[in-house]
Amino acid sequence: MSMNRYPKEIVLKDGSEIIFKPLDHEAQKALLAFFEELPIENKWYLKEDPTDPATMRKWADNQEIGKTFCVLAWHHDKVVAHASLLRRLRGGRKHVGRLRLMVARDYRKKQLGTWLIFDMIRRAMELGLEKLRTDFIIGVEDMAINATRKLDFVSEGVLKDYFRDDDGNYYDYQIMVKQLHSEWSDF
Amino acid sequence: MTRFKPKSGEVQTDQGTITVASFYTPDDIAALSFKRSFQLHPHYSPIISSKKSLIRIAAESDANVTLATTQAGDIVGFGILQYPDPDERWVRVGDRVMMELSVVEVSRAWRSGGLAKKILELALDHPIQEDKIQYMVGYSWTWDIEGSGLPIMAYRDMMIGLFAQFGFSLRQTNEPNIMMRPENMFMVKIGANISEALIRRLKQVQFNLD
Repeated sequence: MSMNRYPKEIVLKDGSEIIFKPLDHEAQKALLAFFEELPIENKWYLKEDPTDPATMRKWADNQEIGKTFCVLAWHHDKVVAHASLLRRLRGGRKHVGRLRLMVARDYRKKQLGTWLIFDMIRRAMELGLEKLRTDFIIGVEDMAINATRKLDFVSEGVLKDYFRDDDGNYYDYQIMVKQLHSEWSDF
Repeated sequence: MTRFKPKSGEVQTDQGTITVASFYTPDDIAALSFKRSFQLHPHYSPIISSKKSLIRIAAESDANVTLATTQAGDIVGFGILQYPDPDERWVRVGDRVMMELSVVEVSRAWRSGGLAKKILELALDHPIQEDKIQYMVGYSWTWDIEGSGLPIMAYRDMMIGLFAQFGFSLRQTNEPNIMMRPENMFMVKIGANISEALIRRLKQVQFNLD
């Protein structure tokens, strides 16, 4: 089972050694600190409040029952990125995983996000998922849009003015999907 | 060139007894026959498809060509441990430090009989193994997915499990060919005499930071 393949070690472009580990109840405090330190422009649009301990508990519970798979990127004793793969365990979208990613500001442009997405793609394939979907706010998460595009995610649509910040500014919402293959095919 | 003492063992299969032996010499290989089943299939091309390649590799310094043969002298499986090509990234870890288990292959008709495990055991059992970092690179486009009937990730799991039995563990790398597909993989086994400095060097090379 792939869970026992963690921790995984990667080295970033600047030489920082990062460890990937799945979320567990012990890591909740560090993850909470990660989200508390994120600037408001990186979290105002989130559906849930990641600085609420109850949200953390829910995420850890979901991880235990297999509804979510979260990986935390650790630098020393600090969480510096968070990636999650959300699954529906029943219904017509069981074959689709949802990917969410957040990287601390000081760790961007060092390929950490790419490593995490790559890890999530692998995990999604191991789970037998057929598609991986990830959504981004245009104008806010452009770096992530570009990173996923390089990993063969394609735009499946844009929802116009789908997000609105507290100042009343509207943002378009980009839906990106990657097709996962369980076998090679000829062309 | 140092000649290493071969080791051998037998594997009982439904189709008879197969002998697996290590450190085949070029002359020994020349006397054997190469099964046609290693040649091209519509969806799969074996890495080694001629006896000539095995003979050439067997002549390389420290290389271990391990073969599985029938009583009639047909090669039905093989494993190769050798130094990487000079243009490979792993050479940068140090002079003759890294040795690659570059191939382990069993002819389709002889699979599921435990041959791959025995071949691996003897191919990796090298007198200088504790002075080396042994590694394997798994490229899914070289896997016989069609012949195995497994989904890619299940095949990957099978490979990881097989190599883990011999002390190999997964490592991350940004080597472009490995990064090309999520299921590709890089596994390493560090010999007991490998220094901390070389282990650190390997980590740098894994991420192209040396």
